[in-house]
Formats: sequence, structure tokens, C-alpha cells
Amino acid sequence: MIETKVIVIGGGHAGAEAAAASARLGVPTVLITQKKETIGEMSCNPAIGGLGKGHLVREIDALDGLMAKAADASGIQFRVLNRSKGPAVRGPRVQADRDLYREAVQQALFQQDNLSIMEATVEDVVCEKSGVVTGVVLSSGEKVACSALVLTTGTFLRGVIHLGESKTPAGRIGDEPSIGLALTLEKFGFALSRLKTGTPPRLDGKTIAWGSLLEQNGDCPLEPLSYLTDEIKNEQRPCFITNTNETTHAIITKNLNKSPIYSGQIEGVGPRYCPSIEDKVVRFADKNEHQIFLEPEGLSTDTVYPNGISTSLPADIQEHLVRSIAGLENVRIIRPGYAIEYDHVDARELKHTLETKKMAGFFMAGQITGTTGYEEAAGQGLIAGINAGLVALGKEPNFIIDRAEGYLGVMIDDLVTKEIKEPYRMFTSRAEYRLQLRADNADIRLTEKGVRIGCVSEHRKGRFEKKRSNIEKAEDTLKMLKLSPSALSKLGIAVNQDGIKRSAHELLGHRDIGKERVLEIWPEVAQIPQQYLELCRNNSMYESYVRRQEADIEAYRKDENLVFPEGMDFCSVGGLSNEARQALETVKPQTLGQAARIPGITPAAAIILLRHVRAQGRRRRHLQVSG
Amino acid sequence: MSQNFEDTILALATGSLHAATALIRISGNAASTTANILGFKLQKQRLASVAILKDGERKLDEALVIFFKGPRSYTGEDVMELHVHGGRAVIEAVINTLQKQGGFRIAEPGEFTKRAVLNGKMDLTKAEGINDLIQAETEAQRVQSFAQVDGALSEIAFGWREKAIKIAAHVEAYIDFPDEEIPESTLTSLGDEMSVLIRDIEKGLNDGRRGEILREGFRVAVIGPPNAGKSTLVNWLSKRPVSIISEQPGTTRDVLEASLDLGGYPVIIADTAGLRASTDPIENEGIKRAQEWAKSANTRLILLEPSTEAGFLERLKPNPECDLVVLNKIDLLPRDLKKEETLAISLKDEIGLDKLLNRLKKIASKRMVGKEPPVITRTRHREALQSCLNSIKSAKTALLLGEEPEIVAEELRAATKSLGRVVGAVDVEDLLDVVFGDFCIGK
Repeated sequence: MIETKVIVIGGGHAGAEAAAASARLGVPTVLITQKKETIGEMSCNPAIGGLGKGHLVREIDALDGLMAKAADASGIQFRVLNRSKGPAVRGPRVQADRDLYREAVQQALFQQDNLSIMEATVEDVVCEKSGVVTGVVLSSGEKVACSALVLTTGTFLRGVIHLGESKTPAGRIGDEPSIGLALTLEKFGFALSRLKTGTPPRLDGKTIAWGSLLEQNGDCPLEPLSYLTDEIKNEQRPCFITNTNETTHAIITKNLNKSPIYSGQIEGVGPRYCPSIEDKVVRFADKNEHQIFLEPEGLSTDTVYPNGISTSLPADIQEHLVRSIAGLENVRIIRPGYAIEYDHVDARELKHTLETKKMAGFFMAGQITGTTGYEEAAGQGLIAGINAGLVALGKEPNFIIDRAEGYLGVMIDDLVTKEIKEPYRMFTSRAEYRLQLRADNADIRLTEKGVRIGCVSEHRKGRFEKKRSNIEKAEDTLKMLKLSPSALSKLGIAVNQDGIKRSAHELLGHRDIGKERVLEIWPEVAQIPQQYLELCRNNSMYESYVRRQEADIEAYRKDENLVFPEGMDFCSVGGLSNEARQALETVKPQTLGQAARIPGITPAAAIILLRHVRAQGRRRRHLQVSG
Repeated sequence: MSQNFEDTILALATGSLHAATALIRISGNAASTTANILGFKLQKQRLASVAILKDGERKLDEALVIFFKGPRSYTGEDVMELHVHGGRAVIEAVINTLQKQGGFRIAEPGEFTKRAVLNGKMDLTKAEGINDLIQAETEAQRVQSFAQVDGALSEIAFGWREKAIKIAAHVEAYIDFPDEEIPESTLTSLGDEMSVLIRDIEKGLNDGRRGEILREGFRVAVIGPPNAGKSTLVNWLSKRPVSIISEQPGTTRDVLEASLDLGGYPVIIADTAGLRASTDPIENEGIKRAQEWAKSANTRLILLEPSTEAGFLERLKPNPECDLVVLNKIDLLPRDLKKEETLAISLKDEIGLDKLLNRLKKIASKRMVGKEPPVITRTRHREALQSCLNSIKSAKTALLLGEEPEIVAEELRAATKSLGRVVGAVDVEDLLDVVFGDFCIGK
């Protein structure tokens, strides 16, 4: 029997982050995967980041995760989305070379201390009678013992690939599904349900008429994803834009009965926000075109990813379909698109640490919890990995990011509190404290917390501390430089003549004044490095709104700090309605705040719970929040 | 908040005793056990039946009993209603028998309705409406309160909230999807939608506080020089001796209030100390109070008499829009002396009093009746709607100035929250005590 401390099953984006995070805590960790060479594979689109997702990537980076660094190492186009909107909602995004990305992840994992990779299939999870995970059984019959386990099986749980009318059990094209583990989860009594997701056909770039298409280049100068990246070395590549048209839509409509989603062959629910082209044509029947981004899959390949036409129609119809599109008239499909249906666990079975409530030491992360997207998966992997590491170290697994600290917190709280009806994807609108959770301040928000728990390297810690002190200095400088309203009006700047002096910091964030004017008035501001000045400006811009939210955050944290005793029996709480009792029994919330966010919990129920807990006098086993 | 919602509460829900019937209402988990304790058989729920209530073998009363199984009840909990005979001893005997058992306690004021709100049986505005209905003294108040019970305010607030959410959703979508999918033009139509919402809310707010005045009563301050007959007038209007009347000037020192029903409109009329320069510190305090009350009144009834010096009225700067200047004691004057704007009366000879009543009624009703019924009946509503209005205006300004969409969205989030506050969808706990503070027991 092999022994280790933490086992991570799966080598996708969640698994990679989980394994690396646990190992960074100094915990002996084994990552078990079916195929070593597919670790870090981008199974769907060749891009990292985007709206909402870019925030997640930066937060993962702030906690010293792999994703941002790997994306920078493989990036062939960098673009910040929402440039026309404010800094709080801008999302950095990278078009990555698929091979380079995978290599970067693999290299990071192979070089990581305390981490070893094992190629094997896990058949079963072993658990003590008392509900504590003790190890796994491999298909070879061999056992691996551990103190904590992170399950990140993505779409592999009873995965079925649909391509037209054909159905193939698979975890991903070319990979075996996990059947044994699905049975294990059922055996432990986890509620499983089906979701689906899809991918478009891959095209041969040599057969595309590029000259006729609209070219889209990346930003220049570009902004790396990782706070640690100073320079991007890869050659940069453009994307191209084309559109579907009425002929395309006619082909789809005519063949709808052959699409497994519409023929009834697929029962899983797909993401509303990343719909297949069949869905788009049916749901937005009034639109006569849909945009397609032709994204390069890498520097050394001609394969092109047509973002926007995910489909599971039969292969011959897919060919017919793509060839109706401008620029693709003679295109050759390298591999047809497909839909994949898979099992996911009801994430309400999980705590905020991503440990299951049923079994101690058993964590889950990634698509298995019902999310979609690399970034969502990686973020969960990171949090699960850190907490699994803490369990192995004999410490309380209490590494939780709250909703006011980061998108990671928003995502996990949503997952563990609300029922998932479609694959969960991050959006900025999910964050109630959006104006302070920006992609440019994720490190300021989170790195120190990571340092305290031990998941951040000395190198990053050193850089972060230097940056933070520079920003503090810059803010101090900007706040010291002040002028009276009358002095400002002589300079042509109109502010209320209220006699209150305005600082350079205030004026910097003012939309009608801004950086250039501030530099004219106070030339010494030019000594502040550009990137810090930008961050100060962003802080200033939202300052009044952020201050307004402080009371809300305080109230939120107060409820969050009221922790229910472990294993609280909600049925024994008198005065609750049946409906409330049922909702509480399903979710088993850990805090009063979480309970109150559960749909179906009335204010009365929340008050009853509050009293019940107070009466038991077990106030505040402080779940680590920010400080 | 000291109440414990796990308790079963009980209270007498009906008013004065020595009545034919009285209703004892019991709500909570133990409500159904009442039958066992009082020795009668629990019948099918929501069906009235006659039962003998007993304390052991001791018969207490014959009652009509109805059991409502939660959540289909007033409070959303199990509710038992005992319609007993309306005598003090009967009620005490029944309540004592239940209380002896433990687990039951007397409800605090408004607790039944509070539970109904907390259990999602009604929103806050309806609960307020119920309280107002209970307090209603006049027909106009009854109409207004029932409209609120019937959802007048909550429908409007929910409607506005829905509109604000719809606008916000467009902004959120514009933020969360790339420009290619949701073009900036999505936002252009939102300015107009915001304007409509701003106009609607402003219209609601711009009601001259009719609803609040009607709920609280139209305040009339009777002021004037000493010995003008203010106390006599107030006593006559309220048809009872509110104030002491004497020949001696300065008899009235404190402000004395009386409630009237003027043709369905509630009026609070105040008798005040006569205004004059005095060296008596007590009288001066009375004059100060008179002036303060008059300042916050909806109208001033300035009562003069023939010997009042000419400058007196001038110093009060009467507003012809809302103040009423009345000349008393015209019995002392020759017949032909009449001023256009002055209402001339004699309380002694009962001259011109009908005319005075009509003028007062007209002034009062003008401030309480509008083309449309008012939606706001409380300061709480007004504050929440005002803050919502401010947020939407800020959102619109931000939109028109081309500010970042997330700023627009932030203001809209605040607006939605304020509207939620009206109906009690947010910050419920903070609101409850304020709202239920003035409830009477058993409701």
C-alpha cells in the first residue's frame, strides 16, 4: 500500500491547482490521473480569462496558483475585455497556445516539491465507518492511503459524448469515462444529476479564406495575467471574425431533429450563457446572424477553434453548416464538435471549504460541482487543495474567501447555497461588492491571506510586499497634495466652492479631471510608476461607492460569523415551517448568513435560527474571514 | 426585539368587555394542543364548531372554536380561535387555564401580525395597513387604510421595483457580455425608461403628504390674543369641555389637543395660550409651546376679536393659502362691519359657525384629497422612496454623462434596495420594531 497525505484525483484545471496548492503548503501530495500527458489540457476553447473569469484568474494568481502564469507562458494574444467600461468590470483574457499551456502546467507540477504524479484509474474511495476518508483503490486493486482527498473528475463521471445520433461513453474525446467513481459517490449517498456542455468542430486553418475576414489583434501594449509576469515572449497572433447567416440557420433548423439536444437524447441541462448554435438559432429566431471568432489554437498548429458554434449535430451536417459561413466555404473539419453529458454532485453537499459535509477529508472541485469553465474549476481546485492540505497538517480546514473578498468567495458561496439548474459560470453581476473586487487589486485583497496560510512562495511574497508598500507610498503622496477650490478654479477646474481642499488622489479619480490634469498641476506625480498611479486612480474613482458599502459588508460579515454548531439538527429547531426545515436540511448551512441566503428561508426562520444558536450559547467558532 | 418565535402566543383579539362575544387567538406550534387542554375535540381545520371549554372537570364556557392549520392561517402558524362570551371572568378563566400548562404566553403588541410578516403571509405595507385600519377613526381613514391592506402601496412599489430591476438587468447584461453581443445601444433606451420611472415616483412623492396627513390627522392650531375665545371655539368644535374657560386672559397655558371627525376627515385641533407679552415665566413657556405647535400645524386658525390691535394679525403673517383668519365676538359690533377675507362669527350668539365649519372642512379636505389616492401613508415610505428616487436620478445622470456602466448599475442596485425596503423585502429585522411599535395587543 502506498501512503501519502493528500490525493488529488484528476489532472484538469481544478486538479492541477488543488495538487499544487496542497504541495505548496508543504504537504506530501499525489495527483492521480488516467493519462499524465493530458494534465493541463484545455478541452474546449484555447483561451483563459474574460469577463468575470479574468477576475478569478487574477485571484488564483494572488494565491500563487498556476493558471495565470501558464497562460502568460502560452499566450499568443492578450486582450482586456470591456476596455470601454470601468476598471472594476474589465476582464483580462489570453488566447493560449494549447500545447504551450499544457506544457507550462505540467512543468509547474513536475517541478513542484512534495508532489508526485501517478498514472492510474481510481475505482473506489475508502472511508472509515465514522465518515472519514482514508484512501482510494486503484483499478489495479492497489490501495493508496491519505488523510484528505480532492475529487476533480470534470466531465468524466459517467461521461457520454453525443455526436448526432451516436453516443459514446467518454470523459473527453479519446478518454475513458469514470464509471466506478460515480458508483462510489452514489454509494456514499451523494445526489447526482446530469448536466451537458458542448464544443465546436475544429477547423483546418489552411483551408480558411483569411483574406476576406475581419482581423482582430490583441492589445498593445499588452497586460499579462500574472502579477509576476514582466514580459511576454511569445509571438502574438490575431483572431478573425465571421458570422453565421440565414443559410446556416436554415441548415440547422432543417436538421434540428438530428441534434441530440432537440431529439430528446440529452437530458442534461446546458449552460444558458454558452449555448450551442442550435440553441441560439432556436432561441433567438429573430437574429439572422451570430458572430464567430476564429481563434488560433497555437503557434505550431493550423487548427482553428471557431468560438460561437458549439454543436452536436451529425458530422456531415456540421460540414455543411460551417461551409455556409463566409470565409469557411472550403473549410476542412479536423474533428467534429460534440456535446458531452456528465454527472455532477449537488454542491450544496459541500462546505465553503469544498469539503463534503458527509465525509471528513473528502473535497470536490471543478465541473463535478456543476460549474463550467477552466477558471471556475481552477479557482475551486485552489481552495479545495489548500483546505485538504490543512486537514493533512492536522489543522482546521478554514480557508474561506468571503463574498466581500473575492469572486472566488462569491462563486463558492453561490454553489454551496443555491441549487444549480444549469452549469454555473462567473459573471461580474453576481458580485454585490463588485466595485471593490477588481482584477487589478486581487493581490491586494488576497495575497496576504495566502501568505498567512502558507500557500504563497517567498518570491511572490517579496514582490507583493514591495508593490503594496509602493502603492501605499503613492497614495500617501497623492493625498498630501492638496488645493483649495478657489485655487483649482483658477486652474480651470470646477469643483464646489465649499472651501474644502481637494487632494490629487481625489482629482485623479474624477472623470472630468483625471491623470493628465493632475500631472499638469503636480508634475511630481509623474514620479509615481504608471501602473501604481493607475491603481490609485481606480481606487479613487470608486471610493465613495466603496465607503457606502461598508455598512452592508459589516452586516454581512456579522451574520457570516455566526456559525452553527457542527452537525446541527435543523429538525430539532422549534417554530420552523416545514418548507424552511426542508430547505435547511438540504443545504445544512454553516452560518446564519448562508442560511438567510437560501431560497425559501423567510426572515422569521432566520430569526428563529439566530435565537436557537444564541440560546445554545455557542457563539462564534470564528470561521476565518478576513482577519 | 425580545420575542421568541418558538413560543405559542395568545391574546384577546377583541375590544371592550361585557360584550356578547370575545375572540381569544392562539398562534404557534402548541395551538392545536389547546383542544386537549381545554377538553374539547379538535374538529376538521377551518371549520367552526361549538365546544364546551373545560379546565379539567370545571366547565368554563361554551364557545365557537375554529382551528387553522399553518401555513393557511393569519400568522402562517397553527392558529386556534376561541370565540367565547365577552366577560372578563370568562376570558381570564380560559387564558389562565392555558397559561397554567406552560409553553403559552401573552402576545406582545402586534406580535400576531409580526409573525405573519416574518412568515411571508403579508408584506410590511399590508401589516401597516392593518394597524391603520384598526386605528382608523374616520371614513376617509378607513378607505385609505383598507386600500393599503388591499395592496395599493405594495402593488405600486413592486411595480416600480420590477421596472428598476428590468432596467438594471439591461445594464448588467451590457457589462457582463462583450460589446459584440450586447451593443452600447442597449443603454440608450434606458434613459427614457428611467425618466418614466422617475416621473412616476416623483408623482407618488409629490402628493402634498395627503396620505400621511389623513393617517395622522389634519393639524389645526387655534392661535390669537388672550380672551379672543379660542378655548370656547375648541370646546364648541369638539363638543366637549377640553379647555377651562374664564374671563381671565391667559387661562390656557399648555397646548390642549382634541380630535374631530370633520365629514370623514380626521382633524386634530389645538387650543393654545393667548399670544401677548408677559412677564410670567409659566405663561411665556405656554406661549412658546403655542408657537411651536403652530409652526408644525397644517393650518393656523387665527382667532381675533374686535378689540385686537391692528398690528397683531400683521405680525403673524397669515398665509391666505392655508391660514384661516376668524373674527369672533361680532355680537359686540355694529352690523355693517365686514372684511372680505375675514370670517366673522360670534360664539356667544352662534353666528357664522356653520360657515366656519365648512371653511375648515374645505381647507382640511383639500390637503387630504387629491385626484388620485395617495400611495404614501408613512414617513418610512416617503424616506425609502425618496432615497430610491435619488438613486435612479443619479443612475440617469451617470448614464447621460457617459459614466461607466458599473456606476449606473451600482445606483440601480441601491434604488432596488430602497424599494425593497418599502415592502420589507430587505433589512426586515431593522424595520420590524419600528413598524410594530405602535400595534395594539392581539392583532
